[in-house]
Amino acid sequence: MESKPKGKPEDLGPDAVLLQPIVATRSSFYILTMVFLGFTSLSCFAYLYQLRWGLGVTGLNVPMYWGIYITNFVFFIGISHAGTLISAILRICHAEWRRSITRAAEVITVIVLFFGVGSIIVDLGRPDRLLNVLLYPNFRSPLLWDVCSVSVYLMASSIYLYLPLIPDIAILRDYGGKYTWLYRLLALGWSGSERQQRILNKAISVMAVLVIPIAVSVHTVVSWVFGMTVQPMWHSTIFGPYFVVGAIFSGIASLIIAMALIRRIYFLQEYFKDIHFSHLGTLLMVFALLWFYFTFAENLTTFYGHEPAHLQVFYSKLTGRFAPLFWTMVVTCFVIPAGLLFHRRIRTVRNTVIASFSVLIGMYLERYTIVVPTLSLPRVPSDTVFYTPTWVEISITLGFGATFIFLYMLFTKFFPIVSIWEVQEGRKVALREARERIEAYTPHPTAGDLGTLETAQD
Amino acid sequence: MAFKVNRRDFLRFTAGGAAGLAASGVSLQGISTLNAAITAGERDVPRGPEAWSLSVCSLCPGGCGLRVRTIGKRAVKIQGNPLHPVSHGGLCPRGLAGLQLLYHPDRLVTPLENVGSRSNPEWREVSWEEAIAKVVARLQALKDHGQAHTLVFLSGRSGRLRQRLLRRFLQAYGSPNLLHAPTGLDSASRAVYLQQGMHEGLAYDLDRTRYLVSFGANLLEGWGSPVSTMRAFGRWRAAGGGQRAKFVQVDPRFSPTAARADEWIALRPGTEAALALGIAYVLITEGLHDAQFVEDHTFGFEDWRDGRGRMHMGFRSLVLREYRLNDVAALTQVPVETILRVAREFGGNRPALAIGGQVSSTLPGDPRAAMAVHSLNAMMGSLEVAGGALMRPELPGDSETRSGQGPTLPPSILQRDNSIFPEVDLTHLSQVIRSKSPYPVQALLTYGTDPVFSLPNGEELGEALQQVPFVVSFASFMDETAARADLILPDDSDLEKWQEAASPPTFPFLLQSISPPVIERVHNTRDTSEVILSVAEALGGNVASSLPESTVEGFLRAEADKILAGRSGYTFATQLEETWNRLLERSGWWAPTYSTADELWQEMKEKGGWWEPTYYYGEWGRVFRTSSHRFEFYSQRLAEYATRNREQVQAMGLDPDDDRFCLPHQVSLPTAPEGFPLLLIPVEVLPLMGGEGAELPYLQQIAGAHVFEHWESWLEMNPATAGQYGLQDRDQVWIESARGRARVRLRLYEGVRPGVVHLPLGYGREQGSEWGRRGVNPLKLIQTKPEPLTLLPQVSQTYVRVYRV
Amino acid sequence: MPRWGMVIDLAKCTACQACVVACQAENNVPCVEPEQAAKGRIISWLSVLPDLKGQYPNVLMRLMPLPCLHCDEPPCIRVCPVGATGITPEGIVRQTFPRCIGCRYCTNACPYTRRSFNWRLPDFPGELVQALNPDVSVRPKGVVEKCTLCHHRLLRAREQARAEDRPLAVGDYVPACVEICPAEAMYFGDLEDPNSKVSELAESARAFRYLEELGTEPKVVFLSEGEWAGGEQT
Ligand SMILES: Nc1nc2c(c(=O)[nH]1)N[C@H]1C(S)=C(S)[C@@H](COP(=O)(O)OP(=O)(O)OC[C@H]3O[C@@H](n4cnc5c(=O)[nH]c(N)nc54)[C@H](O)[C@@H]3O)O[C@H]1N2
Ligand SMILES: Nc1nc2c(c(=O)[nH]1)N[C@H]1C(S)=C(S)[C@@H](COP(=O)(O)OP(=O)(O)OC[C@H]3O[C@@H](n4cnc5c(=O)[nH]c(N)nc54)[C@H](O)[C@@H]3O)O[C@H]1N2
Ligand code: SF4
Ligand code: SF4
Ligand code: SF4
Ligand code: SF4
Ligand code: SF4
Ligand SMILES: [Mo]
Repeated sequence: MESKPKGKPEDLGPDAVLLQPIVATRSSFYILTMVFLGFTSLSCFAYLYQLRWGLGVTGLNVPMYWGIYITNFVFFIGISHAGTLISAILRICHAEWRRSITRAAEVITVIVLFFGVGSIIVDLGRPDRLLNVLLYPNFRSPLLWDVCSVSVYLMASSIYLYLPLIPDIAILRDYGGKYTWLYRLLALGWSGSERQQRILNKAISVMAVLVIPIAVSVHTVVSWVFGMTVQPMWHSTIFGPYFVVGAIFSGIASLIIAMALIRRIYFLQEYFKDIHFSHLGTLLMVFALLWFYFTFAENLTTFYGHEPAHLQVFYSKLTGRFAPLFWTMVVTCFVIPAGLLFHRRIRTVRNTVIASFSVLIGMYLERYTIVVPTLSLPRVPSDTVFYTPTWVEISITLGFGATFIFLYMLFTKFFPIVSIWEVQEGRKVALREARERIEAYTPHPTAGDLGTLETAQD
Repeated sequence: MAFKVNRRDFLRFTAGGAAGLAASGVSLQGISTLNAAITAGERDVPRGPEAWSLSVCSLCPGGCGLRVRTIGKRAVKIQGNPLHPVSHGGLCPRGLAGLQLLYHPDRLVTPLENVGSRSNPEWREVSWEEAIAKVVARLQALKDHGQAHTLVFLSGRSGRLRQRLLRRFLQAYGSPNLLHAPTGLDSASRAVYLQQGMHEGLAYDLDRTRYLVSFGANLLEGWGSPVSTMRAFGRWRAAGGGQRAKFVQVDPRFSPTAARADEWIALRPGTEAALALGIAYVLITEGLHDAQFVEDHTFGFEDWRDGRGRMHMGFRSLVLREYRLNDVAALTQVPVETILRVAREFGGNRPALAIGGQVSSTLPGDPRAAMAVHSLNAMMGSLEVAGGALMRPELPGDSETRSGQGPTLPPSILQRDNSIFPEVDLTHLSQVIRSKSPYPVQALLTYGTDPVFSLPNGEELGEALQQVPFVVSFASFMDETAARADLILPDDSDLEKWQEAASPPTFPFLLQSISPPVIERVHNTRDTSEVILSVAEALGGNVASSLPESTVEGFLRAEADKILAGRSGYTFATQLEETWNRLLERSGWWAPTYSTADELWQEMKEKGGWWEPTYYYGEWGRVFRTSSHRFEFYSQRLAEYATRNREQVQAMGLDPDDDRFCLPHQVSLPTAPEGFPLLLIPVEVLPLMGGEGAELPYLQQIAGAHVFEHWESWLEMNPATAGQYGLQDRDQVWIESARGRARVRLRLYEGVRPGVVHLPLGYGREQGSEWGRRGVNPLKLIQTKPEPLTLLPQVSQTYVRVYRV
Repeated sequence: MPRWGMVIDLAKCTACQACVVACQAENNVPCVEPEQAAKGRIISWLSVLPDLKGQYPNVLMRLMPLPCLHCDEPPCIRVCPVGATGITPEGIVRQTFPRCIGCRYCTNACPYTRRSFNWRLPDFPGELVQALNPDVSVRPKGVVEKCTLCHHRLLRAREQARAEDRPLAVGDYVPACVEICPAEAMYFGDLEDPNSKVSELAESARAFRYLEELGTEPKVVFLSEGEWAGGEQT
């Protein structure tokens, strides 16, 4: 019953709609492009301006040496956990419902990583000396660990995105529309033969196993940039897991939002079913709880430790200057999502999406309230100075966001955002596999009546 | 300095940016443009032959010795002269900032003539010849019309010898009016005048004192000779160095000095006299004072009978009757125990010193308070002993040029026979000018002082100047006074001219610093003394003959030679040599390293100067110039004044026959007028004191360190007080007095007494460098009505209200 | 091999800030203009920090001159990704301006906030540029700078000594701040040398190391204010 995909869309049957975004482009796309690119060039200008006049054009000061650039860095890297990690986990534990969403996720990872790295470069006083990082690396510096782990992560997740793309690229190649040359190049002569299939699946599952530890390491190391200093409320052992959880948390949220948009714009209700959202929603709920647990533990320990230096930062968050941000974070990261997701009946697509937006805001605030308050209250006496981002910082941040979305859009214009072959494969093998699995763990599978399955089989 | 992206830059940049943006992606060209943009202007500094030379700092009366490093034609670093007896290699921040003064972009670089009006001047550059000719013409005209005495020369800080030059010039020219800017010791000196009959030379042997109570003299914020004071402070606490002297600061404000003191006594402002007399009470009742000294060297301690057989109340009775501890405690709001303890410590540790007694040493305080404080020294026998209060002797050549002496000169414009002091203080000048009495001021020259800015009633003076036909300023910056002048003849900066300095205020030893110019003139300026010499020469006649020397060096040399006549002292030397010399001198030997005037001159130039490291104690005749030839608890000068001006005294509601009038006592305190609940006390911050440092970024940056302030003046207020008026830290507030209001930033500071506010002095210039034109000048808010008896402005009695903008 | 260290006697310090200006002048540390200062952009390798406690009239204030403490275990150098800051064999925590990429990680890692960043091109308006010290390079914008313990003075002293071929003598190498202190509250010397003034003081009863609990092992040691011993005379 093996069937090689032929070069005609109609052969794809209903899945043909997945090629729609690629073959046909509505004018709205161009309008959006203009808008996004508008932001992009704004940020480019802002950055050149900063290069010319120095970081003095930001709101940074003594002792707040880091601001929203670093916040962005942590935030974007966090988002990057959307794809790879989630899809990998789902793949490994054969969650069947993953098939149509994995790619949407993986793309996020690869693209957003560039902005994570970008944020660091933008924050440098001397980007012209960036190469020094390679020329005179100091491996005791957590920042250098970041450089390593992030680049590995980037490579791994690119491959991990690419592998499952190959069969679909082949489809596009055979379909022979625009850019066939490009697809031919990228398809690596995919013919869909048994052998190729086997190799591909093997490779994918290997990568899936590989990327998980890498992903975890990345955000752990990011947390260590802070954790390895002796600064009050940075110097904390919980930061590793705390950051990872936060990362996945914001990852899922952004994935949900991405899916919602895609299904809206490209009419893919059939592929991103409510059930997908419901599942992801549950996942989000779980992480909301985890996040709360960590946040609570972190702050309670600080409070009990009662170390003056730590306490003043603690209070600046809970009752002081940063209280508004802190409590908004608690509401948006926990109260709202929990409220919207705790019960199946209210966990509608709409609410899940709302919850996700709220989580993204919350997680940004979390990153901010981790970076800034500590810096604002050093151990030695210092004047109370205030940090407010300037137009430069804000423009660059907006630009980054916009450019990310734009690139994501662009991707959907060149490649199917839903993995066609995996969906098809799903239709064919999913049930059988499922049955085998169930049989594998049901005692005396033949004794009882698993017939329903049988019948469903044909 | 200000980094402003004006529209032009911005546009230019936008263009460049766009280009860069276009280019950067593709061409190397673009990348290099970027790099250029990033690294633009990395600077390297000049090189050349290196040299070190000595000089003296004259940025305050402190007179510290400098060692200056020059590279080629440039001075690149100011350091301390280790051999200098005043500063021993140390400097204060202000002295260090001297280079910024020298190379200041806003310096006056050439003579200017005001071709506009006084009210809105227009400045035209003139040549020195032209400028000097103008001065000469004016002075000549005055002299010819017998108006020479109407010339007023206002002089600020400047060395002893330059003062001699001015005096001699004025005397020969025929004017008694060499007037001086107020200085920190004025209040204390007035007390000394009333109790010891001496004007000048008040000094304290801080190095060797073992217990010091300072009544509001901010020892560590530039009091007297700042560096030598700080040095003494360091000595008191020298690690392992014998017994640590105790330093008690009496001050309503927890000033940085109070913070560094061993004990801070927060008292109600204006009650120093009471506190001092309270301490006296304890000393007397517990018999801790030096009865022998009081017996031998003082007058008016016990009750006494005068020639006409009338009994008079003595200091003892006054204190015992009117300054019982409970009353004093109630008035000063200092706990009885504190007074008791401090008094006992004061009595138990000798030598013990009491200094100050003013509101702010920069602003005239009440001499009766200062008298009360100085009386403590007399009680403890701390006059004329090691570690006590001393009177610096004069250098040969000083007295021959005392102002007011010499040939037939009319009385100085500030002399009043109805005044306690021979001269009334400078704040009266504006009044004199306006009223043209005793006689009009036809010409006014100012040198090294900026009275329009620095006098409590400077604005008035500014107005009054309009009526002075001819005003010349020798300022090196466009200051408030210069801006109202007809001519500005900018003086050289310290390092460009011959520097010389006398013993600074409070410094016990006779001293004369001398050093040649360190570098060539940077601009077209001229040493004022040189200008005076040329003017004298041009005026000819006795003026010229009184100043035969043609150069400043020549003059200084001639004056320095007189030192030889004193047959004592040494040129600056290492600590070791000094101790040795002291030893010799005490045993009557004098073995100087020089024998001829030439050698002396050479050595002074090489080592920085000459001084007399030995102080001869117990020259009572020299230090007590009173009619009793003793220290007078009961000031007979005041007594004599009272008899001379009975009705005037009565007019003040005082009884001329009341002995209190002649004894130190606490004057009654004013009460806050309706609607002005807060007492304003201006304070000085070391870096900006005197106002002149204001244009120096180095100093602006550190001026408010104790409250993390810089570049702006701030209003200090106690948080509780602020709460009372619903004000918060950093609020922009109006501070309003009867005289006017100013806008300033509020800083809450626990060191401020509730009900009091402080504004730092030195800020609020309206002329000159933009860096100096920041903040507000507290003196513009201050009460200046003269106090009837002393005729000094009642600066300590200014009440204000503060409200949010 | 000497281990250079400093002792600051808080009992003697008058908080005059001469050391602060001396450092600025010696090391060409730019003055930032009012607008920047208001934003908290002042560059200062050494500053006198007030620490105020209590309420009027029971207030205490410590005024502490704080240079880089040249920690033996400096948190700042560990984190530098490019090794632009490090510690010399003689214990001076150095800063290599031409290598620094301006990430400001070190500034955040230093528990004493003793590191300054050049937010803009340093500005020496008008003739002020003439007052620059030729021994010390002016830093470009975008890099971090800090107290170098006047390292250039060590180099000069060494040259001098070599020229006169003799070993480096006590007092040949003295940082600008120490040299100027009017109260002689600062001491400088070799902590290795057991009979140097600094090592003696560093052992004294009043000696303490600021925020020592962080294990930074500072080589700048403070002597606490101490108290008046009393001492009635009879
Ligand atoms: N670097 C530098 N040093 C200088 C100068 C300079 O320009 N630069 N100038 C020199 C000159 S000219 C002078 S005059 C001196 C002045 O220096 P200081 O003699 O120290 O004068 P202030 O600093 O005004 O001291 C006044 C103190 O008295 C306190 N005070 C105010 N009112 C009262 C009161 O009612 N009772 C008591 N007990 N205390 C009160 C104030 O809070 C303040 O702390 O400094 C000299 N030193
Ligand atoms: N607002 C305010 N008023 C004050 C004080 C204060 O701190 N603030 N302090 C009080 C005290 S303590 C005193 S002693 C008096 C002092 O007050 P002044 O004696 O007037 O001292 P400054 O105000 O510093 O003014 C000195 C002026 O001399 C000029 N100058 C600077 N260097 C030179 C030079 O080398 N040669 C010449 N010819 N001129 C030079 C400058 O233009 C400067 O404006 O003011 C008192 N009044
Ligand atoms: S104390 Fe006065 S004289 Fe000495 S350095 Fe400071 S300003 Fe110059
Ligand atoms: S120079 Fe000396 S006295 Fe002045 S602040 Fe610095 S350490 Fe203290
Ligand atoms: S004080 Fe700060 S900058 Fe200096 S060595 Fe220690 S950690 Fe590094
Ligand atoms: S700012 Fe410079 S010195 Fe500091 S960590 Fe980054 S690269 Fe190293
Ligand atoms: S040692 Fe040198 S660099 Fe360090 S603070 Fe002192 S003067 Fe500045
Ligand atoms: Mo003064």
